[in-house]
Amino acid sequence: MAEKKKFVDGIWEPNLDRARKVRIERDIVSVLQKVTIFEGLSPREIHDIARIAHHRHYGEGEAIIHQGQASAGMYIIVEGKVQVTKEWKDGTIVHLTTLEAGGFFGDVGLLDNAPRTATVTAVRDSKIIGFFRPELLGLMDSDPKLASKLVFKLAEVLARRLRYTNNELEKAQQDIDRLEAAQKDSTKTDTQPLI
Amino acid sequence: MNNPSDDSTKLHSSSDEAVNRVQPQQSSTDTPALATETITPPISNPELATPAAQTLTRESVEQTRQLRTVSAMLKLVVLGIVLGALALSIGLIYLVRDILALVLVSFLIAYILGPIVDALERRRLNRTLVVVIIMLAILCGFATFSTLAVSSVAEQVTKIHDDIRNKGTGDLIVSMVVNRLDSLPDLLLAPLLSYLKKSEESNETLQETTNPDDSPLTSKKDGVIELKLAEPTNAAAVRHEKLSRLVRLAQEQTLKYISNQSEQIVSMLSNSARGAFSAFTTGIISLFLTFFLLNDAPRLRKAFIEIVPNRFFEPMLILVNQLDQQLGSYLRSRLIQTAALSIFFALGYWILGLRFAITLGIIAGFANLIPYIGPFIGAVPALIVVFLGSHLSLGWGLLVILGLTLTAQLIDNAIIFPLIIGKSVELGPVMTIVVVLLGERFLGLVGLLMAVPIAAMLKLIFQEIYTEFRGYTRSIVHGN
Repeated sequence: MAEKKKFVDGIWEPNLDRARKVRIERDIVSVLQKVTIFEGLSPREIHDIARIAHHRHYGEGEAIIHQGQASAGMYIIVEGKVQVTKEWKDGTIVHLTTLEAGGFFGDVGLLDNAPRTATVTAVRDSKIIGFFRPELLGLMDSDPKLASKLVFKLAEVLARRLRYTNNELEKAQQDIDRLEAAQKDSTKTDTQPLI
Repeated sequence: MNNPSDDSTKLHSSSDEAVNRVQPQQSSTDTPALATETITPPISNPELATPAAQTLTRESVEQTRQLRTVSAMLKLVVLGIVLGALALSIGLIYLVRDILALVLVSFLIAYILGPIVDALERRRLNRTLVVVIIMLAILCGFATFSTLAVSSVAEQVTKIHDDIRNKGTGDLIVSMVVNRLDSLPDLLLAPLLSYLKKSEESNETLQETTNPDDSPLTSKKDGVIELKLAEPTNAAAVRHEKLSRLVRLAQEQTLKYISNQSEQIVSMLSNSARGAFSAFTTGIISLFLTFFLLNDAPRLRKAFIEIVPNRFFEPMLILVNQLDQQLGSYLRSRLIQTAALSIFFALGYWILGLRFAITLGIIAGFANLIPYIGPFIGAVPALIVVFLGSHLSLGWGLLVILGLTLTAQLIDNAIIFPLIIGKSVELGPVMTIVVVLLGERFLGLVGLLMAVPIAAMLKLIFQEIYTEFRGYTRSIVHGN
């Protein structure tokens, strides 16, 4: 893993003037609108989510989530780039993917607090929005309609992933069957006597 | 921008992409890199191992030993720092306990009223306006209650004070109390009579009595002070005489105490106006604190989370949420419990025909907030009311009130507690008592009531810190 140069605490500049704050909010709203889970929400609803979400700033090389840590929610990348890695039991670290602005990860963490399955690290200085389970549960009290829309969208994303995983599993099973059949045929050919 | 559906599936399609396998870092120098405990394969028979393998095994064992030593030293250092910080914190808390109690009360009021403000804010009402209205309502209610209660209590205290000083009423009260005490068995009276004997032996009553007519032992007749030589003819009369002397002794000591206290209060108020002013400013400060805590609660919470470093951000978020749930659950359940028990006691006292049944019920309900000893403390005012004058005899009054208290405890433990409070706070009985005593010592009445939930929250915080720190020290020692 790249050497960690410096770490930045999760505080955005505290003395922003109002115009800058409005501009930043607009940027955040435009990013959120493109996230699958927030598709179809009205601008007011996106604003409500942006207001209750947490804004964090991660420096290059800084870990955002750690594999094995209890999950609290999802993250959306406003600016920057992150890499997703997974450590196997033998210590091998596998790079899974890289995400850029507009990408999101950890959405399953909104539903339960199971341990994270991968580590996500900032490749360069990044601004991230965190939307967490306590906020979602609070939203269920304060705005049940919006909360149910979010939960439904989350279910859609998970259903799509499950279908994809099933398809991949089926393909893998077919590949295995094909390989086994080919191996059987080659064994039969080898045992036939030469005439 | 990444296609979200691709993003969501990329995590599961690593076989379709070029995968970069990253091996654990190894030092290029001759000495081996920092070893973990499993870097060398296990050797079943060391004698069969090659010299190089034996050397490597010895080095690995040595490094593992060093790692363990470093880990143990680190833990000791951390423990020392934690204990030092704890001692310092306790000292600071003790120094600023008055301010802390004020902040805690304001926080408590704000926390209880928070859900009401949130509910009204959801109906698109301005939060600040809602808070202002609620605070004004509380202020008006408090002012009304204070005016009525204080004037009523002041009137009654003045009446009691005058009655005690008035000889005729005083004699009536003494006679009534003596008759009540006379009905008690000797076993219960033994300590009181022993106290009387000691007081008389030290001659305090003779010296402090200014009017021989008031003294139980002397009387003035034709200008001559004579000893009242009581020559009782039977044991019952002897007992009655002793009880009369005891009650008169108590009356004199009470009057002397009240007189001393009044002088002290007058002296304090006349020498410095700080007393009354201090109480007023404390109330105002508490009001403003509550207002700001209520109004800015969501912002304060978010600001607190924002200052947490990234490494501890998620665990802190989970911890704060757990604390919020635990405290909220505890306060709500205790409020319901207090209300239910207050109603139960008020009904019970009303059925018994006691005066001030509602007030006594509320006192008993609130006293139940104090673990274990609270219910018995709450029964004392009712016992005093029975003692001072009720259609119930003392014995029956004691029995009935005790029965009522035990019934309330049974209902509380069997129904209310399991249903409402449950396991919201998991502290053992010994720990609970210790914590309550410490709370009372540090923060008085507020500490008495809030000690248990604060202790439970501290326990949760330390558990989370320990869990997180274990992972942190491992990463320092093993370099990952």
